[in-house]
Order: sequence, then C-alpha cells, then structure tokens
Amino acid sequence: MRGTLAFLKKELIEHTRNYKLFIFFIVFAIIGILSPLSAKFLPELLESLMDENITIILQEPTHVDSWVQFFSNVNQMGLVVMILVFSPLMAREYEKGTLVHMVTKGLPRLSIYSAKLAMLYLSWTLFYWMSALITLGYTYYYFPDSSTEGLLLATVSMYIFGLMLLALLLLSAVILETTFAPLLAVGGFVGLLFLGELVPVIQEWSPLQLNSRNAQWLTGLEPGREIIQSFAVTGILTVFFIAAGAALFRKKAIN
Amino acid sequence: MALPDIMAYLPIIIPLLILQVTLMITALLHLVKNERLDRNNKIVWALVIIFVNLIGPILYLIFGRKED
Repeated sequence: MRGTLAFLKKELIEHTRNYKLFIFFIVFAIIGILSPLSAKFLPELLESLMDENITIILQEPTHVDSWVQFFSNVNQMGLVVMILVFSPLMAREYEKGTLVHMVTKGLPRLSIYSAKLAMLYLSWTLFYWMSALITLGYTYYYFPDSSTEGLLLATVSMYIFGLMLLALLLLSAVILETTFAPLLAVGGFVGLLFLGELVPVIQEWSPLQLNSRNAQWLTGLEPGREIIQSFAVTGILTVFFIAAGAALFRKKAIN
Repeated sequence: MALPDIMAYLPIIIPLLILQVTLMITALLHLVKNERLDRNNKIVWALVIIFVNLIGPILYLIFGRKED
C-alpha cells in the first residue's frame, strides 16, 4: 500500500510537470462550457445564416440538447484526448528502463500496476465529473426549466464506459510495449463494438449502449432490461481487463 | 445578432476565451524556452499554436516538446 501511494505520487508529479493534467483540465472544462453554448447557440446561428425566403422550423432548444452535445463531445474529444495522452504510459517506462530500479529495490509489481490504474481512474473521475458539473450549471442557467430526470443514469453510464476503456488501455499498454499500439487496441475494440451493433443479440448486451443511449433516458424513456445487461457486461469486462493486466504485468520481463 | 443577445452569451463565452488563451500562452511560453527545437521548427510550431484553435497548443504540448 505504501509502495502504491509513493508510486502514485511520482505519477502525479510527473503528469503535472509534463502538462498532461493541465491539458485534461482545459479540454474537459471546454467540453463542459461548450456543450450548453452550442445547444443554445446553434439554432440562432442557423437562423441568421438562412435566407429570408426559406423558413425552417427549428425546435426551441432544451436542456436535453445541451446534454446531447455533452455526451457527443465527451465521446469525440474527452475520451479520445484521454486515451491519446495516456497511451504511452507503460511504453515510456519500458523504454527508459525506469521500472527496473524500483522492482529490484523491492517495490512490488502490483503496487506499480495499481498506481498506474489509480492514476488513470483518478484523472477520468476528476475531470469527467468536473466537466459534467460545469455543463449542469450552465444548463440550469440557460434552460431554467430543465429537469434532472434520467440524468444520473445517463452520466454514470458514460462514466462506467470510460472506466472500461481505461482498463483496456492499461492492459494493452502492459502487453504491447509501444507508444501508440495501446491507442490502436482501444480504437479497434470500440470499432468491434460498433460492428457488433449490427447483430441484435450482441447489441442487447453491448457496452456501447452505455455511451450511445444516454440522451434517450433524459427524454423520459424508461431504461429496460438491456441496460442492466449492458452494465453487467461492462462490469465483467472491466474486472477482466484489470485482472488480466495485473496477472500479465507480474510475469512481464522488465529490462 | 443584436447586442442584448451577445450580452446574454457573455457569461459563457468569457470563461471559454480565458481557457483557450491560457492554453495558448502556456504552450507559447514553453515553446520560447524550449532549447531542443531549432529556429525553423519553433516558427512552425508557433503558427500552429496560434492558428489551429484548441488542437494546436495541445498537439504541441503532447508531441512537440521533445522532452523525454
């Protein structure tokens, strides 16, 4: 435990010095601010660009649009930036041989692994919820009659999906040893999930529901049985990725 | 857009601008002090940081620093 904390401290200092935490802060804060803004602003922008002879009927934007923007921004920017930035997290240690000293001095490998995992999860937890809170605040400010119905489920499911991807990132970083192969592995996994959407049986159990159906719950759709299946599959996969990564890292040749 | 409309957006636009400018200035300051890049590279990165909104400074801080 002491080893884990010490290593985690080293990770925190390292990621502060190389601007990674700073980048996350800026990106997730911008996502939080941009989502309500674009929901509110886009219809007006379209209107002002339109020719006077053409009328298009645009629905008045609601708080749901703000959250739709939030989830798509987290998917397309937040998660991508986080996985991109964290992709070299093991490769750099392997490359520079920095782990050798610590392992030979008696730091348990599991401590290193759990500190790396804690670093990933701390960043995701902190910045994701910061971003969600900013969106929540501005959504209330610009859409005062907004409700929070289904909001908890929608945000939590996105959060859990992120936890699963980060566990996979660490597992592939342990196995693959190169800088950007883990990024490709996670990308490939998400690609497979999208392919799986074509098959109804897989779709029903797919973790992808956690990051694609968030907006539906905000509009009052009751979550059905398939969401419990999706949570279960995602949870099992996450635990599997973490355990597999730990087991492999214990046997890994470090030189 | 009328002026009152713009006023309504200020509470959200100002923090957004502050964040973007903070990011840009951090990247530029780092670039000026970076001794691992030669002059030409620095000019290219400076242009990227200033003109590629949001992504430019992030790209520099992730890939352009050549620190480790």
